[in-house]
Amino acid sequence: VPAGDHDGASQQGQPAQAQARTSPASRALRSWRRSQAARATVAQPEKGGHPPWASAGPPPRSFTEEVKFELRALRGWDFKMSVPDYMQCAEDHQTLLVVVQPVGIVSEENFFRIYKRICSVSQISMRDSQRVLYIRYRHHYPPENNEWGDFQTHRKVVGLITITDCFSAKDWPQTFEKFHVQKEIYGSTLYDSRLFVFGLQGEIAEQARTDVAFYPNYEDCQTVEKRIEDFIESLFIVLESKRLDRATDKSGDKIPLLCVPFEKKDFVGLDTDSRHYKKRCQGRMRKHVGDLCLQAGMLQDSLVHYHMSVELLRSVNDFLWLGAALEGLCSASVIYHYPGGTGGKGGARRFPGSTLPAEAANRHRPGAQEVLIDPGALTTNGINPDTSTEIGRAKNCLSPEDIIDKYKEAISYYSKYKNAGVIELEACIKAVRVLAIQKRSMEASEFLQNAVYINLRQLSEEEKIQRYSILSELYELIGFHRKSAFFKRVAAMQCVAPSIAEPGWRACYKLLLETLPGYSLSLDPKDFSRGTHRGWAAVQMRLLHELVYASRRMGNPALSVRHLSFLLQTMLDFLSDQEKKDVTQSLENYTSKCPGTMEPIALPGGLTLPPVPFTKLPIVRHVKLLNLPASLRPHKVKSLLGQNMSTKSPFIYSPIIAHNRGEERSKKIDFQWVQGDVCEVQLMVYNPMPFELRVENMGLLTSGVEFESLPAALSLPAESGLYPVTLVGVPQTTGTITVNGYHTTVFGVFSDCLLDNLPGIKTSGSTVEVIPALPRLQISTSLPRSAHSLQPPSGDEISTNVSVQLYNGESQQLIIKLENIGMEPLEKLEVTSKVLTTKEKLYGDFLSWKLEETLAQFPLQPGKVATFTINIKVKLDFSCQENLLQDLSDDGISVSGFPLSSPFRQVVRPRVEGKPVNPPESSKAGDYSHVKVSWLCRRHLPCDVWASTESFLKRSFEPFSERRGCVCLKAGFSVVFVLGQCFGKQSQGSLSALFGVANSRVLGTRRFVG
Amino acid sequence: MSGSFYFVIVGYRDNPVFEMKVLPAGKFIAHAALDLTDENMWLLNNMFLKTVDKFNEWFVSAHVTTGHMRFIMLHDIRQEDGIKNFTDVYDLYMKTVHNIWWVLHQFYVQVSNF
Repeated sequence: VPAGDHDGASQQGQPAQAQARTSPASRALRSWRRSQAARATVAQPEKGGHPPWASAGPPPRSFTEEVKFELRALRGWDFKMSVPDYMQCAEDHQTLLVVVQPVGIVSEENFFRIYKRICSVSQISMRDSQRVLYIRYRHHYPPENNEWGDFQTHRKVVGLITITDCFSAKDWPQTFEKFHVQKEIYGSTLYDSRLFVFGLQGEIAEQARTDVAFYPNYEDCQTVEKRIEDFIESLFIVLESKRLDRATDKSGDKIPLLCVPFEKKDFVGLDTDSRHYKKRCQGRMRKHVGDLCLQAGMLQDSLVHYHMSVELLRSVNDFLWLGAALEGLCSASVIYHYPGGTGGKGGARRFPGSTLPAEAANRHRPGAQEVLIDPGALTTNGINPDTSTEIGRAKNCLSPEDIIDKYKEAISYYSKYKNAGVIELEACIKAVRVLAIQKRSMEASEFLQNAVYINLRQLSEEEKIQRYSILSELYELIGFHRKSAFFKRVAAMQCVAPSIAEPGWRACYKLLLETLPGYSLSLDPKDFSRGTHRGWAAVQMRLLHELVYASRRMGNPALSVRHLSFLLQTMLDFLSDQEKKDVTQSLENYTSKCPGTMEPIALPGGLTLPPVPFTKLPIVRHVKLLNLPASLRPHKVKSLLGQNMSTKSPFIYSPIIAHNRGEERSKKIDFQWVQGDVCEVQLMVYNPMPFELRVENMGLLTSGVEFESLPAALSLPAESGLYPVTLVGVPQTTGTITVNGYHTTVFGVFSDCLLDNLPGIKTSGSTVEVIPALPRLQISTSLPRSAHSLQPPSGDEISTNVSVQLYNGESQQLIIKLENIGMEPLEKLEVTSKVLTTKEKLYGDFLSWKLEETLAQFPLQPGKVATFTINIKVKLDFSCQENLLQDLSDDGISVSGFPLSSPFRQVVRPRVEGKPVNPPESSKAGDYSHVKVSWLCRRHLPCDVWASTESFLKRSFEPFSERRGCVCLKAGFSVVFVLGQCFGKQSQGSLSALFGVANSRVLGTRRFVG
Repeated sequence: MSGSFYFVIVGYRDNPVFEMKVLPAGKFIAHAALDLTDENMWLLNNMFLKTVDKFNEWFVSAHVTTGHMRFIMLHDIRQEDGIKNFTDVYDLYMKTVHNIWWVLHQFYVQVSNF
C-alpha cells in the first residue's frame, strides 16, 4: 500500500495540531508531492504467463516479451470505488443529472431516437429568473455512483425519464409498475421522474397526467421537447426549494452530517455535540449548498458558499470534504473564466459566448460580499441585477493560476483516501482539461502523471482500455503527441491482453493505427521517399510488426501484406540482414495466400492505406530509353513536301519557340520508335538485399501510346552492384509515348513504380515519339559475305559486304534476294552503283541490271521475296591504253566486294488520297519504299599474290591499298606485277615463261590462274 | 551504479543516434519521455534536466545539448547524483561531433575511403 494512502477513518477523528503551524496550502502541496513520489512504486511487476498469441505469430521475438512487460506493468491496480467518468469536465458541476432509460423491450433504435431528442434540451433559461439550468443526460449510470450524490451534487441522479412501449390497455398496469421499480433504483435522490409511453391509445392515454406522457408512436411525438422542458422546470423548482431550505439552516440549528458512503460506519458513536463535529456538519452543508447554488445557476453565491465551506472544513481537517469544497470553488471559477467550456464538447450547451460576463453579473446575487460575513443572510434569490457586486465577484472568483493551485490542493486531500480514487482521478482529468485551455502542458502532465498511478478497484479490461485511451486523449490535448501515442499503444495492447477471453484485435488494430502520428509514422510511402528519415526507426518497426500481426489476427491478410510491404519498403535501411530475411520470409508466407496489390485499401474508419510500390527492391539508378538497332532505325526521306512543313512557325527565330523546343528537347529524346517494332529501355538496378532477389513480371509502364509490354523475370545476386536490365515492349499505336515507370512482382507483391517518385534516379528523358509502322526489307545475295568491309560503317547506312574475284573477261551473276519481312508492302526500289576508283573511265561499267524485272514484282507484299539480278562482267581494254598495265601493276584491280545498303527508311509517308502534292512520276499509288543498291569497287592488291612473303606483305599491304604505288621497298628490291589473260590450258605455258623471266630477278612469285 | 538502465542519444528528428543496453520496451518509454524532455528544456536553465518522466519502475533522466541532441537515460533506481555524469558522456559526444566525418543527426555515420 502506498505510503500516501491513509485510510479515511484513521485521519478522520484526529485533530490536526501537529500540522497546525504550517499553512494548509503548503502542507497540501507537500503531501501532493509526497504522494506522487510514493505512488511511483505502485505497479508491482508480476510474472505474467505467456500471452496466448506468443506462440502463434510471426516471430518478432522481442515483441511478445515487450507485450509481457507492458501487461505486467498494467496489472495490479487496486480498486476501491465507483466507476469513473473519464469524460468529466469542470462544467459538469453545474449540471443536473438526468437518467434516461428504457423499460421493457424498447428497440435500441427507437430509444436512441427519443434519447437524442431529449438530449437536445440540455439548457433551459428559467422563465421568472435569469438563470440557466444545465442538464446532463445519461442512459446508463451506476447506482453506486449515485450514493456520492451528497458529496458532489452533480453526481446525484435527480431526474429519471423512462421510455417504454405499451400497446394494449391491459399491459398498462404492469408497465406502470415497472416504471416504479425503475424509480426505486435512484429513488433516494430523484427530484422528479417522467414516463414516456409509446403505442398506447384510448382511454388511458387520454387522462392528463404530469408524470406520464402518452404517444401513439415514435413518429407522432412532437411534444417530447416541450415535455422535457416542463420536466426540467419542475426539477428546478425542487432544486430551488432544496437550496433555499438548506441555505436557511441557521448555524445554530442541528445540521445533519452529510457523508460519503464509506464514511458512514466511522461516525457511529461520535460525539455529536462537540464543536468540532458541529463545524464539520456546517462546513459540509455549506459546501453542499454551494453545489446546489452552482446547479441552480447562481455562480457567485456558490463561490461564496464554497469559500465559507473551505474555511470551516480546514479548521477541522475534514480533508475529503475540504477537497470537494476546493474543487467546487475551482469548478465555479472555471465556469466563470471559460464560458466556452473545457470539455471540448462544443459550445452547444454553453452560453452563447461573450454574453457570459454580463449574464454572470446579472445572475450574481446582490450583497454576496456581505454574505461572506453573514452567512445567515442567504435567503434572497438572485434575480436583482446589481452592479455593486463587482467587488464581490472579483474577490470570490479564483484567478486562472489559483484554480490550478486549488485543484492541486484538492487532489492532494483526495489522495489521502483510498476510497476516493475515482473522485481524485476525475479531479485530475478536470484539472488537465483546464490546463489544456491555459496551455500549461507541463503542469497538466504532472496531473496526468498522477492520474496514471491512482489506484482504483480491480478494473475490468474494458475499463483499463478506456482509461488508457482517455489518458492518451488528454495527452494529445496538451500537445504531448508522443506520450499520447505511448498510452494509446498500451490501450491497444490491453485489448488483446492474455487475460481477455476474446481478444479484440480489431480494437487493437484501430488503436494502433491512431498511435502512428505520435510515432511520426504515416502509412503513405511517399512521405518516406524524400528527405531524411523521421522518427525512431526501431520503434516504428515494432509498431508496424504489431499492425501486421493484429491485422492477421483480424483475418485480413491483405492488410498484413500492405503493412509488411510498407515496413520493408520504408525501413529497409534500418533492417539488419537477419531481419531482412525474416521480414521477406513472412511476407512471402502472407502473399502465398493473398498477393499484394496496388489497390488502396480502405479501412472502416475512413482511412485509406495507399499502395506500397517496392521502389527499393530492386533499386533503380538509371533509366535509359534505347534507340532501335541500326538496321531498324527509321530514316527520313527528303520529300518534295519540303522542310518548311516541319517547322510550324513562319519565323526564322522566335524566342517562344526556341524556349519550347528547349523544353521539349530536355524531356524528349531525339530518336523515334516505330510502331510494331520491339523497343527497349535499359535500367541499371541493384539489389540491396543480402540474398538473391527474384524479380518477376518486370515490365514497363507507359502512357500516350498503346504499348504491349513484354515482362521479364530476373534474378539479382545478393547485394549486387549496378546491373543492367533491359525491358522491352512493342508500341501498338503511334503518338508520343512516355515511360512512366515499371512494374514488378517481388515476394508476391505487385508494384507499380513511377519514375517521378523514385529518389535519386538518373534518367535521360522518358518521352519518345512513336512513328507509324514501316516496311522492312531483308537482303541476301548469292555471293558469300566478305569478312571485312570496304567502308567504315557510317551511322546512317547499313552495309553488307560480299566479295567476288574475277579475271578480265569473266562474268558472273549476282542475285540479290529482297524479302519483305515487315508488315507493310514495299513499293519502290532504287538502285545506284558507284565504282570507287579514280580511273573508272578506263574500266568501263562492270555492272548491269534490269530493274524492270524486279519492279514488276512490286509492290512487294509482306512475306514475299523478289529477286534482283546484277550481271558482273569484267571487261578491261588493255589495247587502247599503253600505261594501263603499268597502272594496274601499281594498283592491281579487284572487284573485291560491294556493299548493299539497306533500304532507307522513309519517315514521311505521303498517302495519295491525303496528299495531292505527290510527285506526278510516282505512278503507283501508295507508299514509296526506296531501295538503293550501291556498287563499290576498290582496287587493292589481292593478298593471295603475296601470301608466301607474309612478313613483307603485312608491312606493305596497308600502304599499298591506301596509297597506291607508294611502297617502301628495301634497297635493291623491286616488285614486279605480271598480268595476263589466260583462257586455255595451252596458254598457261606462255604465262609460265613470262614468270620465268621475272623469276630470275625476284625473290618470290605467285601466279594465279583463272 | 546497480540496477538496469538504458541509454540513448536522440537526434532532433526523434531518431536514435546511439543506443546502449537496449531494452525492447525501453525504446517506447524513452520515446514517450521526449515530450516531457522537450517541455522541460525550455523551463530549466541547465542542460541536465534531472528526472523528467517515469513509467512504472522506470525513471527517465534527460540531458539536452545546445544542438538539441537529447541524452535519455532509463533507470530503475532513483539516483539523481549518479546520473550527473551525463557531463562525461557530453564530453565524449562533443569530441565525436567535432570529427568532421561525423554527419550530424544521421543514424549512419559514413566514413568513405579517401
